[in-house]
Amino acid sequence: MIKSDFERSAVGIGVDASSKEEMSAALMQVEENLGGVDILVNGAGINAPTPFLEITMEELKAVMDSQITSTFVGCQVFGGAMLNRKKGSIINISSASAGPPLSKAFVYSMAKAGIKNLTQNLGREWAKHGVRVNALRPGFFPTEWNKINFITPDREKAILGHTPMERYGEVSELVGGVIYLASDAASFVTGSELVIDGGFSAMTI
Amino acid sequence: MVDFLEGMFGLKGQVAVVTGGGGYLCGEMCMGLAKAGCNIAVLDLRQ
Repeated sequence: MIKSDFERSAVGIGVDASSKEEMSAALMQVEENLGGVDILVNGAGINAPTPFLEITMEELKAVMDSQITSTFVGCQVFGGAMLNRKKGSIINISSASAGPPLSKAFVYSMAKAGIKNLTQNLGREWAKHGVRVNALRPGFFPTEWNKINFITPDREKAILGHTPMERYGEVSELVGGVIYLASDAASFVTGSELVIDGGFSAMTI
Repeated sequence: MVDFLEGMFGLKGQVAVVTGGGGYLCGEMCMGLAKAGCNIAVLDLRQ
């Protein structure tokens, strides 16, 4: 769809982003098809609303791997290639839950805090080598499915009551931040977290 | 002004990789990056 609409090249690759082998193979495939990678968005990740004492080791590992391990591997594999070219912008996905944490999202909040931490550390590490590493910090952008299956009326009241704009975000409202962090407009920006949350992180009550 | 904005924000011909690009949020990011001029690789479990 992207190709026909905008006459750009696009490729889709089936990959487990937490597998270094698969991500390394994907890097080679992208370089062969499109050329050197300039921008990486580490967007893979899952969540689960399980109460703390009921979280199984399998679920802990699944959420952590999908969020933290995949972001780590993305930075290592694609960031490494960017370092060789001395050019690149990496955009990780933090969250309003990265700290202070969000109820009913124990492992997810831990993982997002870790992603924020890694973003700062790599922003520092690669600052003089042409590769910028930043994070987007979205507030609440629920899918229709999430609204129906996860967000009870009480939960919605709590979320919107803590969002000064008193509404959910539209996915299109993340795009400007992504383009900004990817572009030369952000050439002096690294290790940062760009908040897009309708004011959620700016208030207590 | 178009040149000014293109110089600041333009991503023409750049290569962008998006993991989880088949999802709700990242799918929109892929479309946005494509509209800004990027060539896109969508990496996702959901092929």
